Amino acid sequence: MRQPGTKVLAGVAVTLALAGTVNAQETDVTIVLASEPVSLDPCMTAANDNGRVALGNIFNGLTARNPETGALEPALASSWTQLDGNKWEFDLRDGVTFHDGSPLDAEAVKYSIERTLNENLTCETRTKFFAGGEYAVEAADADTIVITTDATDPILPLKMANVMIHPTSVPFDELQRTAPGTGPYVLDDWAAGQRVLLTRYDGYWGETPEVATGKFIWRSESSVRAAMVTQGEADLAPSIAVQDVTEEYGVAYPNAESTRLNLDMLTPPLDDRRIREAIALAIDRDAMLGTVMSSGAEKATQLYHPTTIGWSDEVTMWEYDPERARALLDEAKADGVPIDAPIQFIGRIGHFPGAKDFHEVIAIMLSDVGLNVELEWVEAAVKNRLQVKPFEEGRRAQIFVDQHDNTSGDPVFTLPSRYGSEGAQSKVADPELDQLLKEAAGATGEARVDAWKAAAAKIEEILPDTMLFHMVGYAAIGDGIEYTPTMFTNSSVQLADISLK
Amino acid sequence: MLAEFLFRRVFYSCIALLGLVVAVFLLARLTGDPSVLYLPDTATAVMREQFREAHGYNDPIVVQLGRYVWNALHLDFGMSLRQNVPAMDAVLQAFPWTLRLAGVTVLLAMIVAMTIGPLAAYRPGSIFDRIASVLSLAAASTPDFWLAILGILVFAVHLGVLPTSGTGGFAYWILPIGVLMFKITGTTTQVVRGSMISSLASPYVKAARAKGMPENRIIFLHALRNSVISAVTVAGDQTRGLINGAVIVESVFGWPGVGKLMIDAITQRDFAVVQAAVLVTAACIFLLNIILDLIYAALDPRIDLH
Amino acid sequence: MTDKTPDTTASAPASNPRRRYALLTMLAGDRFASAAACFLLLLLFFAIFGPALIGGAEVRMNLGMRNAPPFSGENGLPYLLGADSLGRPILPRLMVAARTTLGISIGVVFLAMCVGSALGIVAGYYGGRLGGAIMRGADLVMSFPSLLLAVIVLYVLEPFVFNVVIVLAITRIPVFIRVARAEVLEVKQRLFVEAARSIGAGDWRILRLHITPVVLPTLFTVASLDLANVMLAESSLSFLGIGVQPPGVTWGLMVADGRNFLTTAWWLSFWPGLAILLTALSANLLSNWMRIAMDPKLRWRLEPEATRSSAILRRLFPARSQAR
Repeated sequence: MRQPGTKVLAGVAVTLALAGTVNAQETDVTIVLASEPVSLDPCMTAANDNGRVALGNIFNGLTARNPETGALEPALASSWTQLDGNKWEFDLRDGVTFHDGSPLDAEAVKYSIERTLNENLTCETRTKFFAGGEYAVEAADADTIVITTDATDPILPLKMANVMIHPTSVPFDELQRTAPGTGPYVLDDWAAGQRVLLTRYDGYWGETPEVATGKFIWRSESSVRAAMVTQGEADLAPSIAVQDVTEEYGVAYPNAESTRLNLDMLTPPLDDRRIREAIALAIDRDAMLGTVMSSGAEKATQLYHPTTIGWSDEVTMWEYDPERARALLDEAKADGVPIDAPIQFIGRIGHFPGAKDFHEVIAIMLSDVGLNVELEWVEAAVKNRLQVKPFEEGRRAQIFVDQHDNTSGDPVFTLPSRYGSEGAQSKVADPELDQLLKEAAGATGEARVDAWKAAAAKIEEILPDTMLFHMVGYAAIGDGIEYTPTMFTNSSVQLADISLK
Repeated sequence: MLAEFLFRRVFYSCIALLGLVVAVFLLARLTGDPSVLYLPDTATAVMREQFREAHGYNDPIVVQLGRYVWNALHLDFGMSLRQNVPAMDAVLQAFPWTLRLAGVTVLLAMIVAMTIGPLAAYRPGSIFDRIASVLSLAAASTPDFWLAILGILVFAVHLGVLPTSGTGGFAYWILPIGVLMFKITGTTTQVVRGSMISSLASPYVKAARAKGMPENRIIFLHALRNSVISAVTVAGDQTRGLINGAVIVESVFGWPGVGKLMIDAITQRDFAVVQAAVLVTAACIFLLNIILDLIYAALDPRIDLH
Repeated sequence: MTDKTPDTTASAPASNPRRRYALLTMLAGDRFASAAACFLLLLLFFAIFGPALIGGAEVRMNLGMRNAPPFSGENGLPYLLGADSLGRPILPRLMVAARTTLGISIGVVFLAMCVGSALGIVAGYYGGRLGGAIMRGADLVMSFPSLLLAVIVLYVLEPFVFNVVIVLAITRIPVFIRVARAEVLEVKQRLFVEAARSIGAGDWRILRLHITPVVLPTLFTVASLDLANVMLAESSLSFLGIGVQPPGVTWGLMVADGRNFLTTAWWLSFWPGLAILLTALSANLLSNWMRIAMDPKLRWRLEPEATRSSAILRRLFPARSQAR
């Protein structure tokens, strides 16, 4: 940890001493986030605000994903096998204890999974990863757990990376501020509004991490977060805006977020595919790169990264062609499509660093080709309400800027809810696509890859949205630590990945 | 008389508080249903229904209000949906931070204003007066978030003499208080100056001068004392504003105060916290009003407490 | 004025041409006040004709000019003060924003003044239960956190300019209620009001002809002082992201957006901030001057110059009304 104010003159040393900014023990690390976690309950870790603090620090799942390769690795389960199509067996690791001293056993795992799926709890993990499906959990013996699903679920081990395991002492029907976990750190203190303090857990089953205590704090302004790292008040700011990046402290990393324009294809004029294609052609993505957004971002054709299985390289990358866009609009107009009808262009306040410029630029580009776009900012609650079923009756056509992160490596967490006719925010109702999605979700191996590719091709044919970018995040990393942000950094900042200099 | 005054004021304040709670309850409900925020956008309609049912959002609004008031009378102000702790605990944890910030800021601002204001008023139109007026006006018309970020960049980043943000020792208080003081000092200085000018022109100061009373005595004993009333009033107004939350300064500096809590809570549709926060701040403001009235009565014998 | 009651000194300021001319001469005599007046006139000019003159340059995006620095010369006049984060020239944006900014702040102050004064005058003149109820209502609005109120209302309604005006006006109304009431309480004791009442003038007539004209100058002064407060409040809403929405632009919004670039491009937030400051300063200087210039007409305030301003400040912060 660096002492603050290296440029300080001797005369102000008194002030400095008073400041006492850092309790500079070598093995302490301070991480400054944009917002405070809401809850550190094990079943709320799927929300990024919570996950950044709790995932992999306080809690572990049965499986975990390698931050570099993305491969699925054993965590609390030492191995797993598919007994038959609907049945999976997990063998638990030996010698694991919870923070409260109790041993990890099959009962605790069964209890944790059942609590996560408990409908009386508003469980982020359940709603995000376990919508639909029935899961029966049995403890075969003290170290073995068997999960039976109602339909074939080839990616159950992947889903289990998101279910955090806790002892049976955690109340079943009530959300907690936090709970004992099996992770390398224990929640020491949470002063609401100020900080979360994690200290190393001596009984951790894995390798002992270097960092002894991790302090999480939060500041709403990106410039302040960056300043804290340059001043040595914090060691790591996982997310800062591009203009606050300095050569010395800033690191760019793909943050797994992808952006798209979610087009309201049920309402004129967006119900005409030509209009949607015109929108795809109207956006000068190259002009945006390196100006309103990082030059490290990549143009996207699908809402998940190319590392995701079933990502298709045959989907069109739209090029900027305003002439063609205008021609399409004229053509549609000649056919009586009301291209002058106002379109609400809806953004979420503070969606991501630099979101404001991002939205304004796109709105201006769409206006340039002749669409009647009205930019409107709403807060998260309103946007979520507008974006999910039931959709408002008698609405104007809407365009949403959507950001989605799928770090799981499988499109099943992306496609069905967005493009399936049953999907909560899907405006598509195409029986053929539904069939493809259903096949893909149940398939394994090569068949799964091909099925997702077929679905991607079908989606391009329908063109329900305009893909924009795979985004890049910036982290400010202080002098005292070594840390490589990955696509998982946005959803979990693992103290064990930090090494000290 | 004092007892009667206090009783009456407290009684009216309680009624006003009840009105306020009902108002904030209904207003907050207008902003919509928390289920869209607490469940991810992939959640199904069934899940949303379960959520609403579990938290009682499906009951008629009157039933919800009745339940809230009934529980509040039993000192149960509900649970924070977001933090999962009693809402009142969350508020009472944050409130002292704001109160301390407000108290110190207003006190310091008063001291500065009571120094510069009279000096400027002593020779209206002089260079010092012009400079003081322009500066105080500039201070009163600078956006505080801008000032806050600028302060951090200058004092924490370039000079490196102060911590950027957060809470802790003495040094952590300097920037937030400095930023908040700007506007309050500017406004109060203007008020004190104006009031002082009129006091100095008043018949009794003229009479005192005619009697040959020393100038210092005139300024400090007569004129200044008179200006204190206006200064206290304006300071009272400013304190009210600060108690209601120095939202922006709190959020830039990561100050764990009630203003930020309140705005975060409404953004998160954490109604119980919003209600508890308004209840606590309003109660504090009503208390402040009563104290201010007592101060006026002490300062100005012509004011009686009826 | 065709008023027949004896004491009408307070009404109808500066109605004859010679008097007006005298005022102009007086204004020219005060360097600060005339500079302030010129600045405000200039602003008014831009607010009215700016958008037509500039013809859309303020929204023309040019990502190549992103955050272009001020005074760089080769980019031409529009870019004199630099360009913003979308490469739009700042100077034309400031001029166009003058319309929205002034529109909002004047609209808010005017609305708050009309509603607040009317309620305050009624509360002061009739007193009793009605007056009490109005004052308690004002107390209630004042003890409600104003930013929270704004956030709630703008979450419920959409953040259109009109709604922003309404929200800000609601939070400013109590000030005018208190000032107007305190003024009326004092005025209604005066001789000319008593006289009017004794010869049988009705409440409405007394309010209209005798009380309102006396109270109005004070309210105008308060209003001019409030302009800057409203601009700042509007800026705070933009900071929270719920103020005026692009492509609309106000100075407050420009400051709020520019804050993100304070380290790399200070000019984004500096110029609009300066515009707010200069406007506040001008309004204040001019209202100070007007207070003095108008004062001799208001005979009941004996000492010129000083008493008037203190009386206004007392109305602004009436200690008595609290202890009633």
